[in-house]
Amino acid sequence: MITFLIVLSIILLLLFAGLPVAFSLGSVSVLLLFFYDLPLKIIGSTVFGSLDSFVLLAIPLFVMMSQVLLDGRIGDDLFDTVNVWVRHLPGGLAIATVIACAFFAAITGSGAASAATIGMVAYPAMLARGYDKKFTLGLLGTGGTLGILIPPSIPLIIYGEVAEESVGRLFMAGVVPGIVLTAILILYAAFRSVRGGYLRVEPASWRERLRVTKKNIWGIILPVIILGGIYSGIFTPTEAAAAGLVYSLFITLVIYRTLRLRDIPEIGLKSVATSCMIAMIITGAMLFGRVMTLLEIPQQLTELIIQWKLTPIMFVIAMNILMLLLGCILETVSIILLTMPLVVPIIHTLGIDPIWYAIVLTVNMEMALVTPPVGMNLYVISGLAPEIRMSEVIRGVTPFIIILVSFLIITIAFPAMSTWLPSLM
Amino acid sequence: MMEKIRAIVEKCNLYLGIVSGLGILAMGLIIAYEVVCRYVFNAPTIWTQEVSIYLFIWTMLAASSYTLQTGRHVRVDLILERMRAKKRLLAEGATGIIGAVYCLIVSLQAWQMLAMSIGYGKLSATPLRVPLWIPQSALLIGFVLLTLQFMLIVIGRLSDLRALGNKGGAAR
Repeated sequence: MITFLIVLSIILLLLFAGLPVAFSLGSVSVLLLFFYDLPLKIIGSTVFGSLDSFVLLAIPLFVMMSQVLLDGRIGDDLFDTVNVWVRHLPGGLAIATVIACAFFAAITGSGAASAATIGMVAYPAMLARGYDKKFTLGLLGTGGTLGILIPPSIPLIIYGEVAEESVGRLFMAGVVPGIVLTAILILYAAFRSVRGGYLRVEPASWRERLRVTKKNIWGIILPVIILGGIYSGIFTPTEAAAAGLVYSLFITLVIYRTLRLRDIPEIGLKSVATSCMIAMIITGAMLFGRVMTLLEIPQQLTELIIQWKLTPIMFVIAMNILMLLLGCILETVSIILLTMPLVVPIIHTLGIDPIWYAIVLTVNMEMALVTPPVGMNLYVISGLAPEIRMSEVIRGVTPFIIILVSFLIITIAFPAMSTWLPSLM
Repeated sequence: MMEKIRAIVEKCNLYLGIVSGLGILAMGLIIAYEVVCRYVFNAPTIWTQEVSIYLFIWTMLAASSYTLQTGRHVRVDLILERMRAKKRLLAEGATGIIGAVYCLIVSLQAWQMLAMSIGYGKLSATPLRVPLWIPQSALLIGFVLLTLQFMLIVIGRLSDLRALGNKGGAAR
């Protein structure tokens, strides 16, 4: 136990001194190998083996697809389409923003990508229609977090890889909670807009609705291809990502011509940095997990939890509080990979449903995306326009954090919400 | 001299980054091709999954030093941002040394693994029977480049530190 606490403090020291997460985990592992005189040759095989996975391959593919859709301005089309259908409702533009975020979340696996893609078009549109600026920023930051709950989801791919669960089933587990959270955000958006003021917009004519929908149909059916393909068993998640990438390139290069061939290297370079960052954290975390197992630390932690007579629900609540705190200083992939090697054995011993736990974890990670001081979506949203100050974004998301906490409690209280759909597969 | 080495390493990083980006695209095309073969021509391939995994390993490792160079590896800069310039440079220099040592150790281990694979002529346990050194050399190259990039960071911070010291002395 003492070992574990020392390890923990060294990791925190390295992290706070500014060594990237991937290398902090790796160097602590190597230090432990030296200290306990364990065979160094596990380094090569573990680091190499951690990337030897067809499941993880989905990550760069989903990242690149999001980048293609972002640079190809497909987010604008999605927003325009949703907008003509709902803009006349009270708070119509805010509702359109939430639905467009949910739609894009069904294409991409990242919260930051959703916030950036929809934010680019929705932020100026909402401001021009008299919506409160802070509310708009908070709505976009939080709407973007649907990106990791509604499948596909990069955190769930990583969870599946580490916990050895089927990524397809994990994806399906996120569908119902994703829809429920979208509905809650829509209700709140309408309520806040009515109280906070906005300019009413004329309803679109049926002719316009059909015209806009038809024009943008290529982008709208993308979620159907990806989610339908995985649910029906036509695609594995990795194949869905590849098909989605090729399809997105086709519609942006050939149909809408919003991208040209010479934009591709730049898109590749942007995608490579994001995916490589994730992949390197995976190598560090897998090495860390391996060393922890060699030192039998997960077993010791599990025994401790049994000694303390922690019930499963108490353990889940304790983990959520811990991750809420970690979420303030770290981003999502790091938190999942830092905790999972230690948590997985405990989940199994306590008999906690790993699929349910995955969704609870993901909802918690949605909060990590928007809790200050470190929240990926806070940065993305404050980068949407030069006049946006970080303090405005933080004040904007505060009421939404309360919504997310309530939703986390709902997710913990009703496991069936997460486990029902995958049980049908 | 130092600047020349830096320029070469950074150029190398950038090109590897671009090639890796195109590598991701190639992975997508290969896997999509497999899906088409399976459903349209009813003839699943035996090579696509394995080749795409090797591409994945290569792209992720080869682009890692580009990602480090551009500061895209996630880190906690909460405390760093609040430090004075001198302390910050010291902290970044120190973590740079730790990073370089770690990557050097991984490189050495990768080299041993590679030497074993070449020496025994190890092949992948799949129908393709690919020599294992082909994917495994990505680990060596990726981590050697990371070691170099970390060393460049340390040298950069040290010279910034010296420049800062001179300026402080002149002001006094």
